[in-house]
Amino acid sequence: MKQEKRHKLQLFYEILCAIEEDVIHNEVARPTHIQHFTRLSYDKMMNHFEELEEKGMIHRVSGLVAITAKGKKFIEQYDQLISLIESVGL
Amino acid sequence: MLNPYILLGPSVAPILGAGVTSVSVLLTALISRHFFKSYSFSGFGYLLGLPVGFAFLGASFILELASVLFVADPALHPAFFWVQMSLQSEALALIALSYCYKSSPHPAEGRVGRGVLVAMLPLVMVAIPFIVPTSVLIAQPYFDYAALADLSFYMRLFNLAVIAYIFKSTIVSLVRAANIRLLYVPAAFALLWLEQYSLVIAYFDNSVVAFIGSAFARIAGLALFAYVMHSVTSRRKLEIEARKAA
Repeated sequence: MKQEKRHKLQLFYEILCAIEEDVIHNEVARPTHIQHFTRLSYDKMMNHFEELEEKGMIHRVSGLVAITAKGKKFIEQYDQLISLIESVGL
Repeated sequence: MLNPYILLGPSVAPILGAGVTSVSVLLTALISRHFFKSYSFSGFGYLLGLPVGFAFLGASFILELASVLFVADPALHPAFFWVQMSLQSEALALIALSYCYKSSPHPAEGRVGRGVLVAMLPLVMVAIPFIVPTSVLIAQPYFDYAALADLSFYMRLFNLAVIAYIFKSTIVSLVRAANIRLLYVPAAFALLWLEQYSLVIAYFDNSVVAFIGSAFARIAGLALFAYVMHSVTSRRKLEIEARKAA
């Protein structure tokens, strides 16, 4: 089944949520798990990781990924944005 | 009669006008701020029509009050009224533009004729509120009260059509989402439509009741919209906090 093209913000949101989810279940977030959650190719995911790290939303230590306070704030803001857009019928 | 506030008399009009305007401006500023925050966060182009539209709507209410306060001035009274009418129509057209761009199909998906219509309609919608009053002024480069009053009637008809389009778009989203919580926004736009309709009635009948009804409908519509904005953001905050606590 063809997957609908995702907006960059949505991809960031899904990656950050996947990290949070993985941390909750396994105490650490592994790139392979995140790749499974987000259905992205490994190369694309690594590119997004770099961008997220530059923006200070995640940090990577010895192959593991962690979400920062800025990343958590992004999730909250994206959640609110989607609710607002849906509530006004857009 | 240009500004319907004149129906209330010179002693009541400025006081009631100031009250209604301050509440309306406060509500539009609140709504505009919420949308602007969303736009600046996401950068979604189609969202821009909403903060700018509501900001223009607030500015048009201030100009409406200015038109009441300068009722004795033969130049400023019609000038403020004319700018207010254009700004209000432009504001509604910009809000409609957000709905138009969001719901318009991808060019490859539709037929060519439909694609051209979808591309042209927003341009026409935004151009009308500026072109119509400007053409009237070019034809008669002085403020002709009767012509301006007629113009206000046509502009209100335009506003009614634009709000009806927004209402239809919100109803379609409501039906698709099948979520009763989404009923508030179409209800808010229905109240803004009622405001314009009451002003049309006031234009024909010089009815004070219709005019006061229009003021109530406007405030109720904007308050409902502001309530939706506030409840969405505060509800979401509570959900996020609950998720964190779990």
